[in-house]
Amino acid sequence: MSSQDRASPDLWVSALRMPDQLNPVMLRETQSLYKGRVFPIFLILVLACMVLTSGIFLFQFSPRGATGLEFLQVTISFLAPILLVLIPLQAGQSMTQELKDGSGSVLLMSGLSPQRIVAGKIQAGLLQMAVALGLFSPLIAVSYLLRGTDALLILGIIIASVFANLLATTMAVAVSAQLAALKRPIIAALIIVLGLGLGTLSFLIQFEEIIVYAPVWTGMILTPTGLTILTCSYLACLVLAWLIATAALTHPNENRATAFRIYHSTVLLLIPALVFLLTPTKDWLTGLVSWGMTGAVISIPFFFSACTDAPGLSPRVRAHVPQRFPSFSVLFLPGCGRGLVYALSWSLVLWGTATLASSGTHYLHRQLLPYVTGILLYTLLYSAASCTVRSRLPLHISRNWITRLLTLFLLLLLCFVPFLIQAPFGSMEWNILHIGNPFFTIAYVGERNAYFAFVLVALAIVLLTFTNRRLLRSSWTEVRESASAKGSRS
Amino acid sequence: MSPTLLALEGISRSFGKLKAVNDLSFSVEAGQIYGFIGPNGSGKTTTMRILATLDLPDDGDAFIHGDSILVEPRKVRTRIGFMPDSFHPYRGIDVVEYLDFFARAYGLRGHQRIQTVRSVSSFCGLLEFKERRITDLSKGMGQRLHLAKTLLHDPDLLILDEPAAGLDPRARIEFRELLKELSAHGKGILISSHILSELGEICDGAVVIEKGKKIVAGTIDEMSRKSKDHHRLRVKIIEKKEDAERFFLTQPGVRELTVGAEGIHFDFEGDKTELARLLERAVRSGLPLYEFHQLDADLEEIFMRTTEGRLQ
Ligand SMILES: Nc1ncnc2c1ncn2[C@@H]1O[C@H](COP(=O)(O)OP(=O)(O)O)[C@@H](O)[C@H]1O
Ligand SMILES: [Mg+2]
Repeated sequence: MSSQDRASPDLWVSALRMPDQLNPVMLRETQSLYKGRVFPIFLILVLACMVLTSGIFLFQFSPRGATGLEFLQVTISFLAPILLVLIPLQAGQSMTQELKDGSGSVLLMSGLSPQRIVAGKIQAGLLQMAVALGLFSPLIAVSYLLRGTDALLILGIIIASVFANLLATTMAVAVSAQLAALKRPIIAALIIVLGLGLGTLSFLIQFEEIIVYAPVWTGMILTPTGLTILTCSYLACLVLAWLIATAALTHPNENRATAFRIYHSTVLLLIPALVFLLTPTKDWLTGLVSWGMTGAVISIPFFFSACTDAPGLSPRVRAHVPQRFPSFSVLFLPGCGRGLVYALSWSLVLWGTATLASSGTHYLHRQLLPYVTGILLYTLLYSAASCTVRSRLPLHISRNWITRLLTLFLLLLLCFVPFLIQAPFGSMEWNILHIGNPFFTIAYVGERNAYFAFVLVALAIVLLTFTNRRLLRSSWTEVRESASAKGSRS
Repeated sequence: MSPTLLALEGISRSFGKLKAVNDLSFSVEAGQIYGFIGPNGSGKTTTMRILATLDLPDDGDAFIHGDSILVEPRKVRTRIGFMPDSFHPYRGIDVVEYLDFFARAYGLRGHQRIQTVRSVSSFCGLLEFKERRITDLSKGMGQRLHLAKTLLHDPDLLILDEPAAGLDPRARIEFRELLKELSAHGKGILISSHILSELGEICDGAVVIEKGKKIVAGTIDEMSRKSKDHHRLRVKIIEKKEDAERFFLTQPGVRELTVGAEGIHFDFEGDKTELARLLERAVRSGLPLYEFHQLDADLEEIFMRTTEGRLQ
């Protein structure tokens, strides 16, 4: 051994010979997986599943009358949990392990970017998926040989499971990365199993229907519009999960908010672009209606987290404020004051569209304005409230999650206390006390056109914004000054 | 002249009401081994995590070769090797695979990567264990492996958080030798410990903190000078030991006097002139002194003196 060492120092140990281009995390993950206990267990599990598949099939269906479709169904019901629960869970667990104790900090100290670490985890998951698919391929082939299925269906299922696995793995990695700091990693695992398990179960329960209606589905999906919408929504989910995963690994003094705000703006701009591209002119108004609604709804978490950021810029972000368009970059830089500006701007755009679209004749058009207005107003109200709370908490307890919890608590209080006050009088009608309850108020305004309620909310927002005026102004000047300071430095 | 390797300027960090690090400043030069000493919970780990850009200070800044850890964390990271106080070992991979992983993570490529992994594992004495699983390594070997890992990207500054904790004496001495060799190669080393004797012999300088606050800092020389009004003396005398004991006990500034076979030891509080006067009086009073020796203050003594009464 040692003489061989001296003879060929470059080919020292096999691990060192792997190509440089490989993602290190993926490489190490695969090495430890194949040498560790997990892989044999995984292999045994997959083999057991295959035996069970064949067994169940032989028992349940008489071989003569059986069709390939039934066989495929049994195969899928074993393959799906492996691809959509087991492998993502494993990737999530390894992410939790990665960030445990000091190892996580050391990894983050190395030149590896959060993106590469997440990518490595996902690649390792994909590799495992390839192994599982390879092991199951004989069964899939048998289902084809038994007749009753067509190659397109099988191909479609395989492609769908590959993409579903990718998404599930990314989401599991994101959840684990976000929850890695928890004392009990089992909580992250439970959340992942619950989420993915429910998804897979409902998929399997629907499987027959899916197969029966396969022609209808393919007729809907395999059109340019269908494919575009499917691809875009898939990508939107994937990118969001990816951003959440990498944000958890980002260093405390690097910028996390910008990526999310750019993502949110891109998604909001993409929807009308798709509407104009894909639908005929007469449907544009309806397209805008759906945009106003979905835009208002998906903005809630973004506005909420934007307004609960730490108030100031970190030194690193301050040093990297773009010199050009500093006023525009105000919208995208972290900080609760800038978050409020961001939320106000997008609310105006979405509300303006809703107003435009409400001129239509479709019933959706008439419902739209109160709903979009209500959703946006209340999101803004609670975001502005968070912003107020956040900037006034003492420095050492003004963590984002405290603010979010406080604001949610406030929301709960404002929803329930008015009912408690009303209860002795036996009336459950809407009255002014319920102004803090978004759900009740929006429904009430929609029914009665009682827009004065919204006027009150709008006034409250203006008041809160006014209370935060110093924060808004200092946020603004901070960015401008950073940009000009950078200009004078260079 | 190149700027100081590491300079902390008023670093503070609180967790809730607890001020874990409170306005801490000190500096480390290249080639120095610098002790970072304080009892458990005094804020050593917190400070080191801030220096390693893994946490943010509430106030203050630190500079590596003049680059701020807050403004240029990425640049700073390439110059620091950080060894945290705890690890979660990756399962199922061996020593070489582990080092290779970090070499790849630090962006080393091809031949350079292989050479670096080889030279670092040879430097840390890991060659004979190269195919052992890292979960099967002894504590001492594990620490060497982690040291090896922090050396892969050839950092200028090593930040080692209690590396000697839990090592047996032999492993501790071997580890110390490695550090000496590294500092001889020009690397600056900041090493923390709550046990002083671990560091006394190898440190060029030290900072002692308690409850996040600096108590004393500087090179061992500087600290000895700083405590110049505080001398540990040894007096040897031909005869009349009891007389001498009585004489010194009655002198102002003399404390903690012990009489042993090696002579009379005592602490003396006062500057050089007062010391000279003490000697003069001793000789005048007819004591046959043949040695009046000032003992060098070592780190342990400085520590005990400065943290007197404040440590449990
Ligand atoms: N993440 C944290 N949250 C709250 N308190 C912390 C945290 N990290 C450290 N502390 C507290 O800060 C103090 C200093 O801790 P530390 O830096 O680990 O001390 P040392 O490394 O010197 O033993 C301790 O009282 C500890 O409880
Ligand atoms: Mg510690």
